[in-house]
Amino acid sequence: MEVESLTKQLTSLKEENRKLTEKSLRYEMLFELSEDAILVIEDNTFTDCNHAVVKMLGYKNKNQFLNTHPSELSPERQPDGQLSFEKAQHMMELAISNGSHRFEWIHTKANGEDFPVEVWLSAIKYQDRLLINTIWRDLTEIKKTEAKIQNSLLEKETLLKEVHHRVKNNMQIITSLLSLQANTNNNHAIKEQFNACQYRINSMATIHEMLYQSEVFSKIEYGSYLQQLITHLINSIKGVDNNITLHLQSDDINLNIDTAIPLGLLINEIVTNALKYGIKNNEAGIISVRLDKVEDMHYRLEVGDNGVGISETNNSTTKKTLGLKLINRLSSQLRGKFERDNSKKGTHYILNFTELIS
Amino acid sequence: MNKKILIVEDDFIIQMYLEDIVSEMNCEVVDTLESSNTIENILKNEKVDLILMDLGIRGERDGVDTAKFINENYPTPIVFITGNSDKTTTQRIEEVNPLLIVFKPIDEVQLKFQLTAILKNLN
Repeated sequence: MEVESLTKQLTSLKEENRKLTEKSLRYEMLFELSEDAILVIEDNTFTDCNHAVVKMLGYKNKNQFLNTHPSELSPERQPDGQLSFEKAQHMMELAISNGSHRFEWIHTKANGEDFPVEVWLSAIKYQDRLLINTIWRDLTEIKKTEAKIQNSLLEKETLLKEVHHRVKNNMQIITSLLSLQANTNNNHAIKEQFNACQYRINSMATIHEMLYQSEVFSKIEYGSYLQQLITHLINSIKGVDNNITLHLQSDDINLNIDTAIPLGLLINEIVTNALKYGIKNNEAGIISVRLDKVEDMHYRLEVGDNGVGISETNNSTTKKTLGLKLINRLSSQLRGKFERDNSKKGTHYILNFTELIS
Repeated sequence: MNKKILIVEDDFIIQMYLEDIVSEMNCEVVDTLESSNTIENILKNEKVDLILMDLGIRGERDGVDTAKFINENYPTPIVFITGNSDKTTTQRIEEVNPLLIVFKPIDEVQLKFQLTAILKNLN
């Protein structure tokens, strides 16, 4: 009986042992053959690692570099200037106090070459021992790609900047030519026509100027643009010592180039008309402009003067002046509703429009 | 007495435009240069009250380098005219202490107004 029972126990123990060995072997294999580079840190020292680490570092076997402090497999300093030893200590402390810690690190290969890795430390309590499981991911290729993308982005930004710069310079040349031509003439009416062309070109050139200055190259802060555009018109038409006050209200509205240009031209026409026909000669007057965001992509522009008021017996679409034709065309380009506001003294317009997407 | 102004600008149309502005202000254009190559010769031999200096000019030295040279050797008031309005460029120009920086597109009325004030103060 006893022998039989002992035999049974022995068999079951053997079976358990076999199962344990198998389990252990299985984990050993998982560790050893994993494509992820895995290391074990104990007492601030690499005590074990798998084959992927050996391969990543370019050693023949793990005994060539185990039992080292992580900083011994690193350059003296990390890219932020910290000593690798001090920083590694700190990283391990963080992993122990937080349970885990992930960061980027520069390690050194067997041949002395430095390379970037993402390190993931996880603290593991095992009986009385404190181990840190370490996983490395080689970032060399990712960093290379990142640098390539960064370079290509920089190149495109430079090109875009150059384009805006050239467009603006060419527009400056066009207005200079118009100005030179205008000055050969003594006829005031003809000079005015040249001036009107210059204002229109300037309204576009200023947009390119601002795009060139802006960080994003695709949108401009419209309030600053309007300030520059309208001040220029007032100074050009009424002289620097004028009696015109500009009331401008625009809360941090950024518009893309496709919207900014037709809107700028449109405002240029209205303000030019206001300064020429609304507020006569050297009389004092107010130009008021207000731009509001109604909802996403939808805006409301109010622009006008407190001058004598331009009579509008005709429907504006049948009017012959180029200025008004432009205003009508531009407002339909902006898919806008353009109307006259007769509730105030002078000439006032309201335009509800949509930001255009190219 | 008419003020004497030297123009340094590499685009011939802008050159003409600036010459036009200067003569409308009843000033005399001493010369118009497209590079800084011959500037020393002019400053050595002629009285120049003010220089209108473009940033991007022909030759080895750009406007800022030329201004440095002028400050060191033939101190003359300089007004910069530039199409480059980015921060880095503006800072570079400021370092050579110009009387004024004018950005393109040029606001003709504003420029005449500012130049008149500057020339008055040069007396």
